[in-house]
Amino acid sequence: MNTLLKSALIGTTKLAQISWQRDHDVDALVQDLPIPDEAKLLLAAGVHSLYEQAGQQGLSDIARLPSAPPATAALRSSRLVSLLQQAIEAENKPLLTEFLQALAMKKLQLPVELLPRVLDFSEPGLREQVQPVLGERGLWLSQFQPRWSWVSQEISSLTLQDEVALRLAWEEGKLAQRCVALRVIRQTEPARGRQWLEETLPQEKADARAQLVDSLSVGLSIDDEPLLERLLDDRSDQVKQVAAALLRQLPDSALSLRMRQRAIALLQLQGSLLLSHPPEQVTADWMRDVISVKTTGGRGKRAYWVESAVSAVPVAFWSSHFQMEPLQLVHALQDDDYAQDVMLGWTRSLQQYVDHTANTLKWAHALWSYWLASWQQEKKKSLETLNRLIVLLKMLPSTTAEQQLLPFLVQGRMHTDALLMLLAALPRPWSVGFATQYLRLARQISQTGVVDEAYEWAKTLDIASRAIPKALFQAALAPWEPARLKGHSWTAKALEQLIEQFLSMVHLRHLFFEELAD
Amino acid sequence: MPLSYEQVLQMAPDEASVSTAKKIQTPASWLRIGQNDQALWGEFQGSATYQVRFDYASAGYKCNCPSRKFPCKHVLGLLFLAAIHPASLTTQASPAWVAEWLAQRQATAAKKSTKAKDSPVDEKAQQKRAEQRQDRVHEGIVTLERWLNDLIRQGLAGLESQGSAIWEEQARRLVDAQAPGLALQLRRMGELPGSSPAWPSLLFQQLGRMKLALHAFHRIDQLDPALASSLRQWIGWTTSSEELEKHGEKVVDDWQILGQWIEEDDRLRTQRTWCEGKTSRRQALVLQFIAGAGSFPLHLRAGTIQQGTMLFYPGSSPQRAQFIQRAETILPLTAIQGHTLVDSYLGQVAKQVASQPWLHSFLAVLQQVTLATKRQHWFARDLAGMSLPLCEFHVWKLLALTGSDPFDLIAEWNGHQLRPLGAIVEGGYQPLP
Repeated sequence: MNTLLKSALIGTTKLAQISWQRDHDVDALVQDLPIPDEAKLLLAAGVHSLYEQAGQQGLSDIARLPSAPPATAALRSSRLVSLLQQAIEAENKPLLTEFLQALAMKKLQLPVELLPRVLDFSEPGLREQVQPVLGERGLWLSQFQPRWSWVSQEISSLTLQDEVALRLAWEEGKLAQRCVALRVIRQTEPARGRQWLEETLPQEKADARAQLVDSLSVGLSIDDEPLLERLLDDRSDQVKQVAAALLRQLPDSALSLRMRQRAIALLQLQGSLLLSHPPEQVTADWMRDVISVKTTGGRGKRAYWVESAVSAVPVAFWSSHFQMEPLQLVHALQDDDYAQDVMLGWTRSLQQYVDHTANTLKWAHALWSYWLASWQQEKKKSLETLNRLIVLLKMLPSTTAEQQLLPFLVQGRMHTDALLMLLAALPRPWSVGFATQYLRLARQISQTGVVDEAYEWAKTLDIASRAIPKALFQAALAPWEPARLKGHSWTAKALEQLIEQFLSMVHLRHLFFEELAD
Repeated sequence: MPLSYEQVLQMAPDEASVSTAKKIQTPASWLRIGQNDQALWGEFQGSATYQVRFDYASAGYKCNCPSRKFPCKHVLGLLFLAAIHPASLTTQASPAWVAEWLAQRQATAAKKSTKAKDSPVDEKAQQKRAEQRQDRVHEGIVTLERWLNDLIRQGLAGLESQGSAIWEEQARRLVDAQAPGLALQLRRMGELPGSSPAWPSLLFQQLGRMKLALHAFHRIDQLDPALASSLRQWIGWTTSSEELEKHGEKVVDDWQILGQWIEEDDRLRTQRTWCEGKTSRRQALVLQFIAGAGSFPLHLRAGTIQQGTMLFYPGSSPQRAQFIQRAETILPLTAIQGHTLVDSYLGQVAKQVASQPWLHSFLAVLQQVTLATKRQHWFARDLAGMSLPLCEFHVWKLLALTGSDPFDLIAEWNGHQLRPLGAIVEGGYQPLP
């Protein structure tokens, strides 16, 4: 066949002679036919192809697969498969997150047939949720497809027990794997991890340097300070920023101390007023610690310096420095020229120095009140202020956050877009108390009043459909009687549709949890 | 037997229909719903009250909404509801509007089969048409042979840079010459150059097989009538319902619907459903065609068993068939019979090829195989360690389901690769559509 194929590839016009094969009797039969050589070649190809097919045998050199672990904890209910599949197909991240978390809580694993679909997820948040419910079968499966290698790069697959693998991942792995290896070793042997990093750091590119240095956040201690101080003079701004952020996390670091000293000079109490004294000029070492990027939002340099310096000091420092409650400090500052910049610095500081002490919560509360008042006074509602409110809302305990939002649920109290953003920031599921109030209002609004306004408000149903707690599924699914206008206006129909979608989502969740409970 | 969620998805004409249907898949969205062994029905309040009904035996449906999509969102919504909330459907007698519709469907089906038997045939005109067609096909084949010779004269090397236009032009000529089967083969061959490292060999083999068919056509009168009939179908002769009724073979059996897939090209969607008689062990390939979106007229559900009559097209080693009569009861498929050794399966393929050399796809039912891989390629490996290559479609789902354990595989074999269509895993059928 090979000789014939060669002739056919080259073309008979370019060949002096065709070398015919005589492997089978049928070859002779073809050659004796009174037809052109080209036709003979084709017939011979056809005959050989049939010969080969008729004599075909299986391949004998394919090895078995490594033994797969049993999928014993995997779900087998076809109904759950359908429900999970719906959530996957709808690409509904909050719903999927809720379902995956529920499986993980019950120590269950995903139905095996869905594994290829979830292994294809590219969104980091979803991958994190998927990891605990993949099971051993999922981990086994991921080895066969290069795009699923993210599974084995996650922290859970690398352990301290397997030191050889850890070292290998550090020396030969891709950047993500190296970061994982570094984080793992830092959990128990931070000095060794730092040593690994110091050995290779000069050869790394800026982006890799920044990511690797960021891994020092695991097991971070004052022992890391000399390295981090040196990195404040790195060529790359990105690396400098990471190093400065880590040094700020160390209360006893020289950088933290320098920042506190600058802060003391910046904010001073005069009588009952807190006043800021931003510098006219800043020195080079000031810039080195703060790692200035250009000022944004059309503000002056001094305003920006105030914000940057304040944000680089934990809020708790101010309470103890002035011996005042956060709310008192916020009030004391209100009339200062740079009040808003200081508040911004405090808000950013709260985000950076995450802890859950009572004092931090007081700060979150005080700043929430400040930004809420400021937002309510704004003629043109700014998205920046709203975003700050969202950040703070997420820091409040869920019941407090719900209480803060409750008054704004009343129709007309807040613009729907803002209400939507704030409701979305509340932890899910909502408490029974908050959800009951919400449902009561939702039913009331959908039945009475002006349809256009009811429709606007009912846009919140989408968030509610994913936040209603299990205990209120039945209550939410009880029949709704949305207002109907004569002639079926577009808005009335759209309102009905919003309610239908809400019911459908709650129903889906209801079914899922019902099935999971069995 | 309600349809599974995935089966409903397959029926949908487009994605938009799926998402609108899902909005009404809760029992609360419906005024009334019900079902029994024959049918599923529901009443939906839209701009008017829509009555939706679904016939379980034939998978026929009707909704009186004005939508031009078939099936509409109401039919799909009701089927999703039945798949996800089976407990919400109570078994009851069909309401009058459902019973009337079912009776009407049965009457139409009966009328259709009587009409086919009764309609008079103008044999003279038929003979004339057949002769005219024979001549045109003959002319088309002579031109095609000349073109094939030219192709070999110039050499196949370099075809990969010439694009598909040269193939398309010849294919169009063959359609004009009333040889659509040849045209289809040629279009498929046109996709080969450059598609894989082995394309020259694959193309040469296929051109060779085509040449064998053309060579045989010149002597069609000397061929065994069954083989001649297969050759005509391969070239593109359609078999009229009268011919099918007259020469086709009817086989009554419990038909296992083993697997199906949809082949799509720019013009046409072809659904290929492989069935096997439980007693007769006869294999049948049911083809359905539609242009554009929509669902296939006959709903055949992979993974089920339905008693009925399969009408095979005349030919040697016949594969293609029509499912002309089906009983109402549909049972789930839980076990299959097939080959445990790859080589014994290939022996069966050799026999089929010996009696009909133009067959290009075969049903493969391989029992107790495991998945195996080598250099990024996948294989089905039998107990004796012999393997056949698998194409990558659905390999991942299969791998997730079976791990390294043996399972029964249903696939379509094209002489080079197995295309997985379904599997029996732990006593349950898993469709791989």
